[in-house]
Amino acid sequence: MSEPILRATDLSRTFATPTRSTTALAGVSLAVPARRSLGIVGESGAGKSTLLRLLLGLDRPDSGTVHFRGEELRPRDRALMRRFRREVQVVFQDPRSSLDPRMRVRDIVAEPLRSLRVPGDHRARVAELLAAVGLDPDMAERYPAQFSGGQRQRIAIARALAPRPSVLIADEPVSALDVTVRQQILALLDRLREELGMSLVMVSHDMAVVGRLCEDVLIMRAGRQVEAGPTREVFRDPQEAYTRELLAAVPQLPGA
Amino acid sequence: MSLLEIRDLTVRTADGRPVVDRATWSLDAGGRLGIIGESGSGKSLTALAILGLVPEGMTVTGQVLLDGVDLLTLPARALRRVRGARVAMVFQEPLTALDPLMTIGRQIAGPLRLHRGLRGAAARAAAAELCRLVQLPEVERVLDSYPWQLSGGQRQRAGLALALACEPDVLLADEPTTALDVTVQAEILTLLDDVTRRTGCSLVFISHDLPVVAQLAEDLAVMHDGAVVEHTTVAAALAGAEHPYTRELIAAARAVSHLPEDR
Amino acid sequence: MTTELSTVEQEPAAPRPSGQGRAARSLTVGAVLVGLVLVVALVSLVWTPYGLTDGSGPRLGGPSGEHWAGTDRLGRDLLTQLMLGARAAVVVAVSTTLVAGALGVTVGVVAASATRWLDTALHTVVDLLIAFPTLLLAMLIVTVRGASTASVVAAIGIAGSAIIARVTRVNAARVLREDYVTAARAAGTGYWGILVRHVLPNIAPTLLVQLMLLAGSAVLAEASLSYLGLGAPPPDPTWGRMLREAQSTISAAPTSAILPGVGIAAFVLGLNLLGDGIRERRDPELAR
Repeated sequence: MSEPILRATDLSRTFATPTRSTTALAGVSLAVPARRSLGIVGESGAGKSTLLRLLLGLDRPDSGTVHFRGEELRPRDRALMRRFRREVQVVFQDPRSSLDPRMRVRDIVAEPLRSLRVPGDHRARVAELLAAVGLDPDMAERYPAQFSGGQRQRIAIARALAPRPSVLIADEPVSALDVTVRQQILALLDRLREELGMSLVMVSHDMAVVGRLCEDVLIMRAGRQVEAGPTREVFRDPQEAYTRELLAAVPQLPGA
Repeated sequence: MSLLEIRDLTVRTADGRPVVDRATWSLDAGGRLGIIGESGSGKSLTALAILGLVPEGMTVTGQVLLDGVDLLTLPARALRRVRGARVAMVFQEPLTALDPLMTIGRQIAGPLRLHRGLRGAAARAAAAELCRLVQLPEVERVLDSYPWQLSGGQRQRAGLALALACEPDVLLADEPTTALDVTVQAEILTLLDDVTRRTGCSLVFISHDLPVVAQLAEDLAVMHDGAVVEHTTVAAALAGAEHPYTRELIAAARAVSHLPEDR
Repeated sequence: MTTELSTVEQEPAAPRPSGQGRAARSLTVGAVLVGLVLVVALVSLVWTPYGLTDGSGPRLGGPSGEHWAGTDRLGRDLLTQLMLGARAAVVVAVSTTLVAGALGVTVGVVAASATRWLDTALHTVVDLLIAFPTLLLAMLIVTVRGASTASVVAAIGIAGSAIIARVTRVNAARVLREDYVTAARAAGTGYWGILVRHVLPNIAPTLLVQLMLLAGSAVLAEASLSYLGLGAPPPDPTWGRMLREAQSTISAAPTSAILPGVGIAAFVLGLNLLGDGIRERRDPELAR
């Protein structure tokens, strides 16, 4: 089996303030192979956001490593980080705060192209990206406040896709959206993943969303991993009590 | 006659735009109504309008009939006797709904003193009883704690205790579990179910999450753009709703909340 | 399936603020007042009724056909002095704002992006500076460098920079915590890029308001310092010194005191109104 694009080994991270220290992560490992989708599920305090930041190289672990295409991630190595960021991109949870309110949409979507010095016609690429996420390219001149939540999330996705990443990390991409819009954004993510051959890592507290989109799942609790494996199997036959508890707690519509 | 009924309830913003548009539904004694809608549908404002708590600048017209008495026509003093005593509310974010500077015991003692005239030891005993009713562990410790010292689930239980302090006839719950983890949500929903049955309190459960509403409510009012587009039972809606928006909502909810493997 | 573009999530619009009317009024009146002073200052560059040192007029004469504002103790035309005083006030307002802005924003941004101990060190210094009486600072600088416009600008500029630094730090720190900055980092934007493209544009509106208000207090501070004799020495007129000179003769020639006072008041009021107007237009709910 070929080397996974992204691999985390035994990550630990503790946050210390003068009054107390919190262990956000304790020895979590995962692998993201090419073209696979992984869902990371956990409730609040599970350490999902911390794990995400470590995977994105936005924070350094206290112990453990993150490997990108076999190379260890070193935030100081600018060339490495540039290569890394071209290939690993992120979509955040809150579409209201993840777009700079003072920038036009075209500058927002083009930012990765500029910062990562991607060659080519940025204008054309932005238009292409907006169309790919189902937005009218003429809207590029507008500001984020002029769009609805779902549309802003599409803009965020367009931005993430700009440098043609091989891994898309999504942090609760639909939690802040209305339910009718949720379905559309999930469908969009699914379709884009197929078309562009990307890997998807989706962090969510919502088992159903993960179940729909992710082939593999990692269940976390209080900074530790509880269970991992192919989603279908884990959901059908959970080994751990906590996993069972999570699955039982998801409210289901009768007659589904 | 139904216990709580709203007729043509309209809430307008300062420049005349209706954010709740002629909403009409009724709730029988002991009944459970779910109000479902997406953001901007006006569902929370409806609850606030019932209690006369809409933000400044907004106007409310229509009727809110509690046992036949129109709350919108009541003078402020009479309305204050209704609030908390007959109609109480539980909010989405317990951290902001509870006063951060008062211990839980003191906060619950507030309505107890106001509506039931309880003081001192009697008030504390009643508050302790309420905490037990909402299944808060270590009741004595909780009574002396501040909101920030409790977990999210505990805070929401405390909020519920506060709402139930005066044995209201109607409990308005505005997205009470939205901010909670899924396992805690399950506990709170069970708690709401249990407590409302035991006290005979009627429930209006407001949410954007259809599967959650479906667990507790019998009747359903679907809101969209300020209007109640459908008022039916949960069972009927799931079997085959009439309004296209309801159908769209149910289809989306099914697609998004369905777990891939039956258990 | 519904077409993706037609999806609408209504975000309920906030009730339209009634502060817009107030904002417009503030802005208009403020702009008029400040504009008047600016015009007078500009005109003084090319023309004044008399020369500054021209003492040909009557001593302490009231307003007359030849001397519209009257004359001072030495027979010099007051209108000329008023106009030149306006120029001095504008120069002070602009230069202190520039100094305070440049210094304050730099310190604020460094503090906001610094490690905790550097941030603490910087904002302790800033807090001390804010608490330090501007007057005392001015006297210290004047003792070292002598009384002049430059000394006044330095003193007020440094004192003002502390306030700007505080406002900058708080706002820059807030912006740095926003998701869109994290997103920018994930998009490969470096520190400078984030500063220039995200932090500065987002703190600019708040900063602008603060700078306007600062300009107003700078003018007042300069007037006070001049009045105390710590400002630009004669013969350059400033409104503050005109007040000082008019003090002893106020009953004989009231206009010599009233007019510079009105000038100061008008300019400061105008700057404050502009600042309030900008703030009200931007955040009508905050202003209420």
